Order: sequence, then structure tokens, then C-alpha cells
Amino acid sequence: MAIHRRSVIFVAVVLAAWSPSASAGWKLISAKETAQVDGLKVTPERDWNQGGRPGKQGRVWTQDGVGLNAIEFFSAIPAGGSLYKERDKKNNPMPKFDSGLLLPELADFFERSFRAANQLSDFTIVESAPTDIGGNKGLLVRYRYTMPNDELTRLGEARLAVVDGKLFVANYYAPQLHYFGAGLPEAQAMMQRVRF
Amino acid sequence: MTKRAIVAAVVMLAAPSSLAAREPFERPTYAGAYEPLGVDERGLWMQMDDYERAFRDSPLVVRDEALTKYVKSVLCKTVGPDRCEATRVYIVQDKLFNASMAPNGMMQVHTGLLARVHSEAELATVLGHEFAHFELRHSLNGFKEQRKGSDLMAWIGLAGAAAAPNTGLGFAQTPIAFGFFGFKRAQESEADALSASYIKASAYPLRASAVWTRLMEEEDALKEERKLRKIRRRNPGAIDTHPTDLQRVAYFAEQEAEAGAAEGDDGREAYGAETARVLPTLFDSLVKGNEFAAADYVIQSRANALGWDGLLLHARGELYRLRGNPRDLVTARQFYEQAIATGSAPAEAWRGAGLTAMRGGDSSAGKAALREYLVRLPQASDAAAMKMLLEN
Repeated sequence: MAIHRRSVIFVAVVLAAWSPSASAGWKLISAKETAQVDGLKVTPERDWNQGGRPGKQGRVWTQDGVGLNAIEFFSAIPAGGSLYKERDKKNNPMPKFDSGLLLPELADFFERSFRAANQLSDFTIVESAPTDIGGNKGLLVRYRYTMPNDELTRLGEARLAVVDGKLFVANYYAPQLHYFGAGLPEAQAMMQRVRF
Repeated sequence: MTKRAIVAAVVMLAAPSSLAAREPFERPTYAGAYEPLGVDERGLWMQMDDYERAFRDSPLVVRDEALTKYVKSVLCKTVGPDRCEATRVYIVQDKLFNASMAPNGMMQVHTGLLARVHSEAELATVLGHEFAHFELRHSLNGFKEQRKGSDLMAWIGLAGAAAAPNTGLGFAQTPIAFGFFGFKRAQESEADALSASYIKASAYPLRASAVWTRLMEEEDALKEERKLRKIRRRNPGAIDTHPTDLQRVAYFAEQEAEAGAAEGDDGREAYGAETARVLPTLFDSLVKGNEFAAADYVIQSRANALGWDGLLLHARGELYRLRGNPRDLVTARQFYEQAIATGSAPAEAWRGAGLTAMRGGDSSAGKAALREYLVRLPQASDAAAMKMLLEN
């Protein structure tokens, strides 16, 4: 029974691929407890789900799924490293961090990285301004973007700082429709309370 | 013989393989207030009407009335004002070379296409091609063909399971799938042929082969940068949906060589003037993407055809600065300074000149340029960050 055999193999492959990742990929981050996220200490107000690594030095948290709200923390990206994972070096190389970047240029680096990782054609920096991250001088970047083949306007707010030549980033993003505004106060509070 | 009948006859001659085999092309959709016929076409139009209603408000649509009107005017000059009235043109922010036309008359034109063509005549070949899909009802016919193929495959699969359980009949399904891709390719060739016919009937000269030649050169430049093998195929693969670029160059070049086909005003100057204003919209996503060699090829080829101006030089400066090798910063600074010297540079050229000067160790010139940037654009999104840089 060629078709039945094929179906059985298909189901087996799906189960094999799904079950370990579903249980191992996510971890509960409890409210009001300080979590160590690589080189950063973060204290959330509410429970969050910690997912996989968007970059070699990064972690992503979400409450309703990364398509609806997400906050990423990247710690100590060295010079020559990329913000997001380089999944296809030949066809989609990621921009490399240069520790000589001037403060306003961190926004350019973030924009190029975010565009490449998400294959965006539409991305606008609304504002980039100096800020403070855990006692370090940093840059706040507010941005707006649209995913390809998707009619939703999405917003984001990132904070970037270079400490001892290494890049630290916290980045919150969500659709403008309800989710961004709903999650922004907590995201801002978390990003402001980040400690190194 | 009406104009439409002439065009249809040309298409029949140019693509006899598939067109002759299918039902004859009947009611022209441009004949005003066309209503879809039959359950399939009505369903398809209903879906596309829903899609268009949502898409109309998409943030990806470039809200530039003058640019949209201009692109539509090129379409109208290409296919005739009677036909083009049925269409709605949307300019879409997308770095890829592409345009598309839905069966209900919604045309999408990517900014990446407008960045890569250099005259109205070149734009006309692509718009004419998309319009030909619409006029020949390719979506509807493609949908029917796909359904026919998938029905047949399902029956073969069922028959295989019942009659020969241990052998399967997968091998019998493969030609049907490949046949569908062949059908799609034939549709694309038909649309190319009809597009060429539109242009011959218009005031534009046929300038299609240059567009496809440049696309191949751009792809080669990118592959060389990425150390990938350059492959130029004379014949399409089994699952390709379009003829190869080489095939397109060959058949367009043949038609361009025909008497009178390449004569007339190609609208190069008008195209250059109309698009110069919106260069940042057309080039931003290319410049800020990660295909350096391709973006540099596109910028330089526009300059070769239409000349450098402040906005294009600034775009090239941005491209080099963002790649960011030490040598790139030196090159970028030169482009910014050239842009400023033209007198038509955007305020951001001073930003780029200032940042590259500071990175190159020339902080006094750098700070002077950044101060000028803030004078020219006090409301810049990064004004606060720049002020802090200037204070330190």
C-alpha cells in the first residue's frame, strides 16, 4: 500500500520533528523574578515565554506568539558578529557589527539587520535618540515596518548600546493594531530596568 | 479587421502551441463594465475584489498620486486608453523587479521595477506583458488547467492505490505536473508576444531585450560577489514558470530588428524627469538591502542611461557607507561630496558626509557637515542623537 506507507512515514516524520522541539523550545519566565538572559538581567512584570535564539547571542520572549508580540535580548555581540542568525550565508548574508560605529550609526546597523532577517522592503525609522541602558549610553530606535505579503503595519522599539566594544540590544516589536500599544509599557519598563 | 483582431492574430501566430489548442479568446475584458462570466471567473473576481479592498489600504502601497498617474499614463499609451481605463494601478514598495496583474484589473508595479528601467518604452514592455495576462484571461485559464491537472492526479492516485497497491502510479502523475509548468511558460511567452504587439501598435519603439540583458548582468554581478556559479540557461527547466532570460532576449531582439519596430521616441528623458523626484522611494530598499553588487549595478546602469544627480549619488554613498569596510567609507564620502556639489543633494547627504568624515578621523569637517545636516533638516528623525554626537 504505497499511499498508506507514505502517510505513515509522513506522520512519523512530523511527530519526530514536532514533539522534542515543542517541549524543549519554550521556557516559562515567571513574573517579578529576575531572569538571567545571557549577559543581561531582566525583570518582567508578567509571565513571558522564552523561545529560541534569533541570533547567536540572542533570546526571544513572547506572550501571544512572536507574530503578535516579542521582545529580543542580545548580549555582547563581538565585532564581526551578526545581530541575527546567518541562516543562508551565500544568499542572505547578515550585516556584521563594527565596534567603530558612531552612536547614530547603530540605527543604520539595526535597520539593515532587521531588514535582512525579515526580508523587508518597507522599514522606516520614526525616531532615533540617545538613551540610557543599565547605566550605559545607548540609542533608542523607534521604527515602523510591514512584512512582505502582509497588510499589517507593525511597530518596534529597540535600545542599543556598545559596552567594551560589544553590542547589547533589547528589541520589542508587535503589530500596531492593539498589540504594540498594549505591550509597550511593560516592554519599556523591562528595557529600562535591564542590568548588565 | 479591428485592432483587437489584429493583435489576437499576431498572438496566434507567435504562440501557436497553446493558444490554438485552447478555446478561442472571446469577449474582451476592456469593453467597459465587463462582468465575469461563469462560476469560475465570477469566483476568481470575487476573491480578487476582496483582496484588492484590503490591499488598497496596505502600508506597502506608495501613496504618490503623481507617480501612480504617470505609470498609468505609460500603460495607457502602450495598450490604448480604452483598454487601460479598466485597470487600477498600485505602486508597491518592493525591491524586486516585478509587476503583476490580477484578473479583475488590479495592477501592481514594484518600486524595484521602476528603479531598473530607464525609459517609458522599457517600462511599457513590462506593463504591456502584465496587461496581456489580463486581456488573455491567463489567471482563469491557469486556474482551470491546474484544476484539471489536480483532478486527474487524484484519480490516478486513487486508481494506483486500488489497482496496483505495491507499485503506485506516481510516475504517471509527474508528466501532468510538468505539463502544468509548460502551460504556465506558454502563457508567459504569449504575454510577451502580445506585449510586443501592443508596443508596435503604439508610439513607443520596442525596447525589451535591453531590460532582460541588464537583469542577467545584475544577477551575474551578484553571483560573482557571492562566489556563486553563473548559470545562463538556453532552455527552461521542467518546473520553471517563465521562459529563461536568454530566450526572452533572443525573441525580443528578433522583433526589435524588424523594420520600424525600434523607431520612435522611447520617452527616456520624460522617464528620467518623472522618476528623479522619487529616487529615494525607488532605491531605498535596494540600498539598505544586502545585495551590494546588484544594487550598485542598478544605480550605475541608471546613471549610464540618465546621468548622475544628487539623489543618485547620495544613494550610492549610502550603499558604500552601509557596507562599511574602511575603504567603503572613503569611497562613500566622495560620493556624498559629489552629491552635494551637484546642488540637488538631499539633506541626508550632509549626514553621510559628516559620519564618514568622522569615521575617517576628520572630525572637524565631519561635525561641520552634521551641523549643516541639522540646519537643513531640523526635524530629522535622528536629530537628538546627532546633537549628542556633536556635543562630545
